[in-house]
Amino acid sequence: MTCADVRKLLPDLALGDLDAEPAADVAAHLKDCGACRAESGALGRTAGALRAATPVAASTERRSAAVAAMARAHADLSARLLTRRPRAWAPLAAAAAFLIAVAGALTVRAPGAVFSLAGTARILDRGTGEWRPALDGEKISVGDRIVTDPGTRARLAGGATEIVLDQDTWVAISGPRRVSLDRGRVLASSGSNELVVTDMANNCVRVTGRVEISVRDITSIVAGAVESKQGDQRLPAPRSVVEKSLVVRVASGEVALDGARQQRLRARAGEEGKFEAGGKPVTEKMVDPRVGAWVEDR
Amino acid sequence: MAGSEERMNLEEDLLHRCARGEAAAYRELVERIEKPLVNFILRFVGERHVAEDLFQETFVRVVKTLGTFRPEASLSTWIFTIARNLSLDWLKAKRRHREMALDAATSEEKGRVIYFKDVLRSGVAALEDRAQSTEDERRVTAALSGLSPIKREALVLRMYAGLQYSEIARIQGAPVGTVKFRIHEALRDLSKLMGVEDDRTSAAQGG
Repeated sequence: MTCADVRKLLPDLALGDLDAEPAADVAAHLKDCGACRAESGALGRTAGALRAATPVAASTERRSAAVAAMARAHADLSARLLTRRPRAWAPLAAAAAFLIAVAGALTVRAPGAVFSLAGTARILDRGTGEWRPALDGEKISVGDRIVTDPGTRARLAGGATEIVLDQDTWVAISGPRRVSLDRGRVLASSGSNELVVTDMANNCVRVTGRVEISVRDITSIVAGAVESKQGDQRLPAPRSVVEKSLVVRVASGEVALDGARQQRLRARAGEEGKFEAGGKPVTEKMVDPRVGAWVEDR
Repeated sequence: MAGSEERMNLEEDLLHRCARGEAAAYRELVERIEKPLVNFILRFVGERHVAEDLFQETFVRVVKTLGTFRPEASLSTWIFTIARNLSLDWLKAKRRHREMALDAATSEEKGRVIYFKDVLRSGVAALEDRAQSTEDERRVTAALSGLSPIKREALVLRMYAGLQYSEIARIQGAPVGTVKFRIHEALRDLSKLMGVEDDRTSAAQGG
């Protein structure tokens, strides 16, 4: 290797991007060449100084401020689109199209009905932004939101997939085979195609079979020490935290539980799977093996 | 690859929930990327309070432009691109401002030679958050500010945001080879900039 060849590789060496074989060749050259050794040392020190500069920690305040700013931006956007002023409807139509693109979001590649609805439910009307009663047999598309009120139930059917919504249940259709369950309980039967159900904490359940999925409140007690920058420690009073968790009871087939933090677990027939508060999936044997009995109740 | 498909599904789902305005989704999005992002912005623009503003503005821009996301790009690449464009705008505005200030300063101080590099360095030192920065930090920040923005950006994306060459190439809109060359050049330039300072320090201590 000539000095010119070696010099070309020195930055990679300093950054730790050089493979073992060329690194050995470079090392052999450096043993005999003082000039290249000096250059290599300087680059290595520079890379070391860059690494030594401590990374900034992400603070809770910064995160909260960003989240609040995002919520404001979203509210501004929605307010602007929902405010109807007479006359200036042309730009609003463009804005409304954008809102539908945003609200219907990213999976609206193939618009069109994915389910047909039976039973009693309300649907968020995209034209007015208001909730209205859904018609029996109404076609449900990606981007639609459906809720059942206490005392009512509804059934969504599309191909071999069927989703029964229990009372007081909120769902959003986020893709042709993808439903977001924000509240309540559903009985889902997927055909041979996988159906994906997610919750607000981004826990995700992939269903092939017949399963009951519900969003439940999980109460956990938080207790422990807090260390402040000044070094003094104090023990806060234990407090209970209520979080929503997706619970799955498998009647037949199989379910994959994908936690919000990349953990994955499978639940089979006769098992119950849920996500712990941190988003970690766990499974256990079902105590009561009847699944979706409430559907046949009436 | 199944892993990347899974990641894409999760990301798509997350953006979907963001589009619906779910605060939990916003929080998750911020948590996912905050550490590399804030470090990238801080090293790129070199000023802490500005970095904080730009960090927040990046996420506001994300909400406003959700509809423009293309699933071919990864979520982080898209967000880094937004942050980088905001940072570049700010750096441009700052340069215009400084050029005006420089004109004023040189016309006032007749007869005295002012080196641009020194003005630059003192500018950085003045604006830095001194209370929180160590000597090493100061040196790195000062040296980084002496690089051209395009080289600095490539190096910072690699060193502080931990991105792959291919991701940086997408953000900079340049071939991978060019990105690699920029990073190498950045390290060489930086080595010279920091070496100059070392020599000065040792000369000052010796004499």
